[in-house]
Formats: sequence, C-alpha cells, structure tokens
Amino acid sequence: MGAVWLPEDRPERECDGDPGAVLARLPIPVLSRARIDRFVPSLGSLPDSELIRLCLDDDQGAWEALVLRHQGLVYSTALEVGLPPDDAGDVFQEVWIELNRSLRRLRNPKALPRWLIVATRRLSWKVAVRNRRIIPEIPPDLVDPWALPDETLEFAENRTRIEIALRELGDPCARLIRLLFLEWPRPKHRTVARRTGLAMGSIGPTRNRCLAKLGRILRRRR
Amino acid sequence: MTPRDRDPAPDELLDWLAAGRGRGWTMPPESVRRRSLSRAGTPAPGRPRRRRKAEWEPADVRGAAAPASGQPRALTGSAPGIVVSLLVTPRPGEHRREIRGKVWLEERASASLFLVHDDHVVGEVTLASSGEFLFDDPLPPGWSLEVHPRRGTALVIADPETGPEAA
Repeated sequence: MGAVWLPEDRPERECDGDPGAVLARLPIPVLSRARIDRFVPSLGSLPDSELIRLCLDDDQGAWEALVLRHQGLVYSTALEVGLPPDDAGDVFQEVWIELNRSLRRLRNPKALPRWLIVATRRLSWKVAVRNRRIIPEIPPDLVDPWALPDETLEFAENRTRIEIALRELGDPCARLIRLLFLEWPRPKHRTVARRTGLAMGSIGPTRNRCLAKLGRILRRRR
Repeated sequence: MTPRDRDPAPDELLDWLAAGRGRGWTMPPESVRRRSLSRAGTPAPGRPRRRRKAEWEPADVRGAAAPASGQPRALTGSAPGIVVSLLVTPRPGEHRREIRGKVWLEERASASLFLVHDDHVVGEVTLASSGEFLFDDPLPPGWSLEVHPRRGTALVIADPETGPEAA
C-alpha cells in the first residue's frame, strides 16, 4: 500500500536557488478521500488473501474490509437456514469470532466465501439447537463441509466478485447497480430515480455507462 | 456457467448480474454489523510443528475393545508437562458431540485448548492446572483437540471415529 505524503510530513529544505528545492517548497494540494482512493488502492479492493495477511499484522482496517465485503453472505446464509433475524445476528457475530480465531489455519484464503458458508451453517445449527428453534429439515451440509452444493458456492463467489468490483467502482454508479440488479424485491423505476437523484429518462443511459465501467474493473481484476 | 470448473469471464459475470441472479443477499442491521467490526480475541496459533498424538483407550479398563460407534469414549493422553483426560459423547440425530474433560499441568502453568475441524478453529479455552472444559458443538467427523502449553510440545487428540491421521 503506497503512503500518502501530506504537507506536514514534508521535510524542510533550503532553497538556495535550487529549482528542485523551490519545487519542494510549493504547497501540495490536500487531496480529498475520494481522490486519494483513485491513486492508492483502497482496502476494499484488495483480494481476501491480502486482507487476511494484513489482519495477521493487526491491521484493523483490513478486518473491517473483510467484514463489510462478506457481511451479506454470512447474514443471508444464516437466514436461509431458517433462523429468525435475532438469531441470525448472533450467528453473524460468532462467525467473525471464529474467523479471527482461525486466521492462521486457513488453507486457502482465496476460498474464503466457502469457509464462511461452512462456518455459518454449522453455527446456525448450534444456535438453533441452543435456542430450541425448530428447523423443519436438517440438510446434511449444515454440519458436513464437503456436502456444500456447487450452486451455493458459485452464487457466493460470483456475488463476492461483484461486491469487490462495486466497492472499487464507488457511488453513484455502485448505488445505481445495486438498486437495479441486486436489491430484492426489485424497486420500481420511480424509486430508483428518487434514491439516486437521477431523472427517469437518464437511468437507462447511466446504467449502461456504469455497467461498462464495472466491466472494465472486472476485466482488470481478472 | 458451469459451476466450479473455472472462474467466469467478466462478460459472463456481467450477464449474470444483469439477469438479476445476484439477488438474494440480505445485509445485516447496522447494530449487528457494528459489533463485528471490532475483532474479538486473538488468532489461534498455526498448526503445531512439534506435537504428540494421544492414543484412545477403553472408557472402562475392564472393558475389552474400543466401544461401538455412537457410544461415549474416554481417553487419557499425555505430553511433557500435560495430562488430559476426556470423555466424548456423540449426540446422534443432532450432529453434536459433547467433549468434556480435565487438564493437569505443571505448577503455575496454563494451556490453551483448541477444538479444530479442517481449517476451522471451532472452540477455544485457556485453563490452569486441574481446569475442566466442555465443548458442545455440531461437528462432522475428523475433528481434533489440540492442547498447547505456553512452552513445549502440543498434544493433539484426534477424533476416535476417524483415527489419528485426522489430526
């Protein structure tokens, strides 16, 4: 990760007619967070393997980036098992505790979505038993990590790729794409216009531009 | 896209997104998310390089062979400075195993116990000598219990139903 050199960090230099020294004394514009993110790769766009490495160096920002990236996967998986939202919240918390505890054991950090699904299902079952919830059918893959269906994993991995690319894309494009393609139930056109501040007639062209940008990010990240 | 045989091309991923197939994630409420943004605890150590494996024994010394599958099993294992005694009781139908035991250590020593399955550290407890522990978790076959003294060799106890190679 590159360092951002802020004006107050710059060493004092004598000018003495040296053009380099004159340049060095010129004020450096203070960049906005958005502009800094254009030049310094943000944590949210780093791969899981790199975030895990940073977490092992006690980088709190990397931990937050992991939680924010995979929060939907973990919470939705707990709900899919059949838990009510309160229990799903307990499971959510326990999954991240288990991940933190297991950071040095992860065999394949690139397969983190799979790891998270396995942990979430097992912990969902544990919380369901603890809280005496009745889950009508216990699929064997709840506690057997090798029985995880391909479709479940494919969905999680694709959705995670999109999530990482959307974080790099940033708003307002990311917000528009989330509303149009990822939100359920699907919002009405009028709602999309209201929540994005776009005129109804410009949603289509803006969507196309945003998808093109997203495509460029996906191609670059491949 | 054929599942699991390759990563999708960017255009395929865009088509997948545009077809609405990425729908279905629910984000947690802010209060739930906030609780997990701070890390709780510390990572467990990596897989122990120096370790000793414990052998399972019949629960009752008067008993003959190992108990049948699904029955409680007892074990006493030791490594330099550690003695562990434990009883594993499977809960058929609930996919749970109750692992209950006691650890004896050298004076003023402590040890961390980790319940491990594959690359998941399922549970953790730190005990002083004569400390008792209980794990009650849904566990697939192949789990192991690692006892890590602060210094020295770790003791690894493998799931009796899958054998010591599981550790």
